[in-house]
Amino acid sequence: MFDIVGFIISLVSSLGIYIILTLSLNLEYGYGGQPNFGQALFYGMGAFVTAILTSNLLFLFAHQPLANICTITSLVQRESIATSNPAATLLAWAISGLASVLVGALIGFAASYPALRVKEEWYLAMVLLVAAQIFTIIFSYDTSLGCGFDGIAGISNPFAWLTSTSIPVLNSSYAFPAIYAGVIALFAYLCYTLTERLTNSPFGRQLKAIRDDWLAASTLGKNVNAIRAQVMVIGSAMAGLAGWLYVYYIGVANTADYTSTFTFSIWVMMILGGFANNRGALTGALVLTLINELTLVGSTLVQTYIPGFNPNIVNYSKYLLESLLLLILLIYRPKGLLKESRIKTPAYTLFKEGEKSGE
Amino acid sequence: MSFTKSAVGLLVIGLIVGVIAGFGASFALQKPTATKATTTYTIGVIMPLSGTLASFGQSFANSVKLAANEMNANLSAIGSPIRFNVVVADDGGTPSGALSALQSMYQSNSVQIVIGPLTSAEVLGLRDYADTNHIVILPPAATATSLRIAGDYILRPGQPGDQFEGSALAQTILGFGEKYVVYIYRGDTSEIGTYNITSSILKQDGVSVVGIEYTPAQSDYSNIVASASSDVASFISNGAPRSQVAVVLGGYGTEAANMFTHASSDQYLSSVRWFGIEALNDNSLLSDSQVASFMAKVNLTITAPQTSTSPQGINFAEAYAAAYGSPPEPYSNYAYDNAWIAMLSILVAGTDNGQTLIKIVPLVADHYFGASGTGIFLDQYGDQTIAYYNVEKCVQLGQSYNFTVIGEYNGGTNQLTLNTR
Amino acid sequence: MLSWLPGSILRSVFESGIFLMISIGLTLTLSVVKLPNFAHAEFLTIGAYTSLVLSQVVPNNIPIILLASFLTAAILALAVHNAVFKPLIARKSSAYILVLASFAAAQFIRYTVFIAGSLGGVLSAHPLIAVTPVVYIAGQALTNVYLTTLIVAIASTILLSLFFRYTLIGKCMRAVSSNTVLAQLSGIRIEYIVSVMWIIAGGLGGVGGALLSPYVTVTPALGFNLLLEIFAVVIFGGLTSFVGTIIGSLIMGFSENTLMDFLNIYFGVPYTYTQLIPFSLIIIVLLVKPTGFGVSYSANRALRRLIGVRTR
Repeated sequence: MFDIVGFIISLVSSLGIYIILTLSLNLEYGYGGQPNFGQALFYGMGAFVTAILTSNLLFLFAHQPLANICTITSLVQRESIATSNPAATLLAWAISGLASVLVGALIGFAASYPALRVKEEWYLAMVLLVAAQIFTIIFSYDTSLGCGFDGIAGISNPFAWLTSTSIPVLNSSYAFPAIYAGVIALFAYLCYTLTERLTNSPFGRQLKAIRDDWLAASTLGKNVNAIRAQVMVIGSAMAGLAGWLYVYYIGVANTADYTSTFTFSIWVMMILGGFANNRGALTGALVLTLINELTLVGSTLVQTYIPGFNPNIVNYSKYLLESLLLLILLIYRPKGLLKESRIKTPAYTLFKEGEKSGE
Repeated sequence: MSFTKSAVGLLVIGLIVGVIAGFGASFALQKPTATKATTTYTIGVIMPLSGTLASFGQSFANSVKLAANEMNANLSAIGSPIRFNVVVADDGGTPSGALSALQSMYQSNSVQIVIGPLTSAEVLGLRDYADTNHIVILPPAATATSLRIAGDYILRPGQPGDQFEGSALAQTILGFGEKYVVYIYRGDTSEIGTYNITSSILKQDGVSVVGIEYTPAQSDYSNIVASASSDVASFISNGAPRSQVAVVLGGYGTEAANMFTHASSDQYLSSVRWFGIEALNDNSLLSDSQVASFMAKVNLTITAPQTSTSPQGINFAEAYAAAYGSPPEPYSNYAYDNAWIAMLSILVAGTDNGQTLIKIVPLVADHYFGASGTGIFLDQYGDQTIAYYNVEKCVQLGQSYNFTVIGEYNGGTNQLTLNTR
Repeated sequence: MLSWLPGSILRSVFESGIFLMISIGLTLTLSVVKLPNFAHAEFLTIGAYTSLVLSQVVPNNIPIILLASFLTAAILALAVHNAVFKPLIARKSSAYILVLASFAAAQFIRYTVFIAGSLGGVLSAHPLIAVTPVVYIAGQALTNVYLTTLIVAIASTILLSLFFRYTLIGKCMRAVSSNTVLAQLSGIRIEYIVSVMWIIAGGLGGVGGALLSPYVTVTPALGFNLLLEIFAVVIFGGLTSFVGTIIGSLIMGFSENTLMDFLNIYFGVPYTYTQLIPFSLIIIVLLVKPTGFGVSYSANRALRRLIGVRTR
């Protein structure tokens, strides 16, 4: 029997996170012209900051002594706090969320400095790509930062404590993942609203101007450096937020999930949907996530009815398809599926309405 | 603009239709089996089928399928209406991949017992989901001590944990009278754990240990080998007799091959005895003459859980080779055994419901003796407590190379018996 | 006390040689078509796989294997150029799009090799080329592969410089790299020159991969794992300078081996952090001295200096 409820819950959860990441990249590159090839760095930092902070905060709020978070006893204790102590769990969750956003913003600010200094266009892409690699190496092997190769485990769902209450529907095994999926969807919606507001405004116009011709914008008096820094800060803060949401979803922070190949997937989503178009970002994320989910589901279904089917081609094909899709797009339809949208500032919207209602 | 809108719309609608079609199809296609009155249970396999560990993952998946085929043949021979189906998913070797694979299996096939994943990192990725949805996870070879958690849905009736491997290796090294050890180990949790345990036992006995950790999945390790060489050289130049100096390799596969290739032209490393972990008994190493001749030259001695004493183990290796054309990768016997334990548990329980199986699997495992030999007994963490190790040495047999048993180690009593050197 | 040094220097030189072979192609690509080619590492992989497959047929026959690797990688390079880069450059895509496209092409090639390898059972295998010590210097072995690498690297360097200085095609290539429009105006057939460039760039990468293969087990991700280090070499050398690439490969070889050995022996830094050295250097060089240590030309820079604005 196909578990449609479970499928929707996991689809919404991963889609929400991809949407946030694609919106962030769209803001940085689509509108802002900054090629962020190191998005995995901000995403991953959000995840690790969350993991480290929440692992320690849980003990603090549950009035238990702090200990090395990498041990099994710590993991078991943290999980028991998560299922029994809603106040501590939710508080730790909220605070680590704030911290991830802040850390993301800070690193984004730091990352905007290379943008100021590099001489050629793609240098920024290179610097960020390399920075993401450095992040991976350090957090894989420095056990004081990251618990080593297996990562930091025991980050339970912030609503897992519902299962130990006696409320009838809410304590089922479906309820808390569904609620968390709703939370992710809510944040995705907030990010969408934020980027829409941000880009459909004079600020958005400035961004596009700087993206298309920084020299002209500079001569017109725009503070190119400051605006670029702002874009990186906001975009990276969003990526950090996505990292916070994801690590609570999967339960473990492991550098293997934050690689340059992952960054590339987000680029494919953005280009597919059409850059400088937030609805395009949503579309791109939706299409690619559906492809991923459905190839997995399809593969397991097919194996049930066609015994000779060899599944190890599936994951390889996914990457092949992704890169082929991107190449075709870049060559034949570089603008993506949805065109770049007009900037609809409040004044413009009013003007358009006036036009319609007038003549 | 309208073209793209309709294109997007069509695409999304097409995908949604596909989902509904799949849902409907799975519903509809189940009907015929009901009329034939056969019950099919599905067990899942989650392994890295892509990436650096793909050869292990593929071998493990094949072993599970082999077990299922054998079981199905036996069931049909006795006229039973029960059959087993195996569904395999690739997790790419990452925690997020493992989680996605498990979700898709559970949601589309209601799989509630899974053989896999391969590494402890992947297990940690799907652990929460498995516990919440009551899916029994049997990782055949994820031996990290960090998974010793009671009351969860992860059971490990397969390979004994790193704590046993560590003691086996340490006692073997001590048994050969080594006093100066250079230990090269892979920078993943399992090998770091084994190194920690082995080196602490050795140091307690007064052995000098130098540890060299290396980054996994790199292409070349010449600097690691050179560092080991200079450590050996400095031991010797400080007066240590060569017979008391040893090198230990906590690594395997392509990384080991690269290191052996470099070491073969190094005069210090070629002149001392080498020790290593079970995974070095690997056909890809033994069939490479340059690598294997070095392994034989340095009398590479490994500690391997006793699988050769089991007739099932020999049968398994032969059956695998007959079915797939090449010998199984190291540790595949654990995947095979876990598959049998899973299927037997389902037969005993009469259901594949995860919440029932979690109570039955330990019972079945404790009474199962399979390709891995020596029997199984699970502790309160769901981990193996029985660990008998063979001590094996790499030797040249005519034109080829293989490992022969030269002694054994009992993990329960911590006793080493060496028959030859 | 410095007994580790001779072996360390030897290994540094070997690694420099390999990186030189692999990276020259990237420097060429950057200077002639201004393309940061993230698919360059795949030429390495193809060269290594050619070596693997051919060594089953003619084991230990290094000259034939090197030649074949050159050819297969050159063919791949031409294919990638015609399928991906030519259309994109024709429509004047920005550098990011080219980077993105090369990344995509790399992933496509890599996973095709994954599929081919897994179907053919050669997902990770060792070429049948024996590594034998030829002579011992200060206790360290100089193997046949090391020697071949040094010879091939030095020979390639000499041949390439002769090529650029004295042959017509070489001079045309230099013209194209310094000013494409003027070169076209003076009658040089750009497309022909660019094709020759891709053949050389890809072919040398393939030879580098083949030279690396006897030591490693060939996997589809072989090139990808070295991609950033290849870029490091080229960045250290100032991106477009031939001499710079030589210097860059020496810096890379020595920093990953001798410098790392030094840090490990005297400061206990584990070898797992080796890659941090070149990666940090990339960032430092790009930010502080983007011209690297070679000689390069950029009109853009002149413009910016003119305006006095320190932006991208």
